[in-house]
Amino acid sequence: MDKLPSLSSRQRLLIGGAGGVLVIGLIVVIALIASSRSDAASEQPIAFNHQIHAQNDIQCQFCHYGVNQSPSAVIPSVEKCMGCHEFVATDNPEVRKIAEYWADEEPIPWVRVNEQPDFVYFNHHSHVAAGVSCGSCHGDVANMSVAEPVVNMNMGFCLDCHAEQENKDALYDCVVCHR
Amino acid sequence: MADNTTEHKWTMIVDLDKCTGCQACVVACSAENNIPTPSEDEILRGRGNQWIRIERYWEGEYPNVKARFLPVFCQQCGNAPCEPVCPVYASYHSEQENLNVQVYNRCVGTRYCGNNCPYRVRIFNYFAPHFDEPLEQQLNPDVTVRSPGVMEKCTFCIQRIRRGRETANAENRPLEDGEVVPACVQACPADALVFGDKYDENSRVAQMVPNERQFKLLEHMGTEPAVYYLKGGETHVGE
Repeated sequence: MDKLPSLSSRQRLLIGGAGGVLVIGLIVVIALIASSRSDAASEQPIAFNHQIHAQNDIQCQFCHYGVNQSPSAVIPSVEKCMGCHEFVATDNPEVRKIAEYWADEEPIPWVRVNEQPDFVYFNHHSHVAAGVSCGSCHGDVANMSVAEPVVNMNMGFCLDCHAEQENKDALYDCVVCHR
Repeated sequence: MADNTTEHKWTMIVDLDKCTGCQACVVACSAENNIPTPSEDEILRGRGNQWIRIERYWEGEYPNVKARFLPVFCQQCGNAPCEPVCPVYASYHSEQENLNVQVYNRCVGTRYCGNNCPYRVRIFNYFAPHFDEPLEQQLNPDVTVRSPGVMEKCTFCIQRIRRGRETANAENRPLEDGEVVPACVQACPADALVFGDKYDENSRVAQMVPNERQFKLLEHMGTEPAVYYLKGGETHVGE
């Protein structure tokens, strides 16, 4: 009679302990996922502000010049930044960081904001040539102080737009994006 | 001149009179399509991963022996036996390109397609891709590095076809003959391989077929291959 309650309390302890570990593990996993999604943008090595640049009438294509000629939109080189910032806002502490990278001849380790899986081949050139605006996928970056992904760029998002096009059948071909 | 919105019929012509069996196409294919170099042991076990297989035939009696070569890659069948057997539609027919396409990220590795292919050109990826230094530095960013457990095969360098088409579309002009060249055709030193769009009347392939030397592999099976072989002189290959 004595043994039974002691056994069950041990079991309860075990179950409670395992449950606790599971809950804590879940919380850690969720926190990790959440941090990897939204904080990536704010952890940039330089607090780059898209809004200030857009307010000064700088077009997206000026820095992301790849959109007109290649699949990749291109993150501008330090040289591109220094082209203006050798003279503009040179006393800004964030701009001074660019100058340091420039002096050290090191690239800026930007954190990627919008990402596609390895088996998806997106072509910026085709989309820009077809008249798709940057904002349709990237949101209103011109009014973002910190660039963040606004839409979930999954296959459904791509196909919703492809379905509305004239050459829908051609754009529904798997090889358009997967190869 | 081909219109980019219409269908293409990508076609390959292999001139067996010119093929010397040098395997330059095999090497170029591996480099272009991120194919790991298989070891001798893997090849002997039948697990080699090469999208082009050069079949070798000996003709004649000693001492008058001649070596004949037959490069075999995916025939991009118009009526492909591999397509209807795939339970997950990873092997499907691209209506626009008229190619038999393998979607790697959809493939679950049942290998039905490979077993149903009469040409034995589909390859199952048994191992995690490994590239000896410095080969990992030259991986093609336009091609997926396939994970183990999926089927793969020659794609007629679909990434080059797409790149050519996307560039032509963005520049609002038709795709020209010779603009898209697969890696094997580019590497062939004997010019034994010719590639192009058969629907384009002015293309080199459209002008080369029909040819009195032409034959297709296992044509009687009704697979409608997109690869034409031109029979070499004094040979019995293809008879």
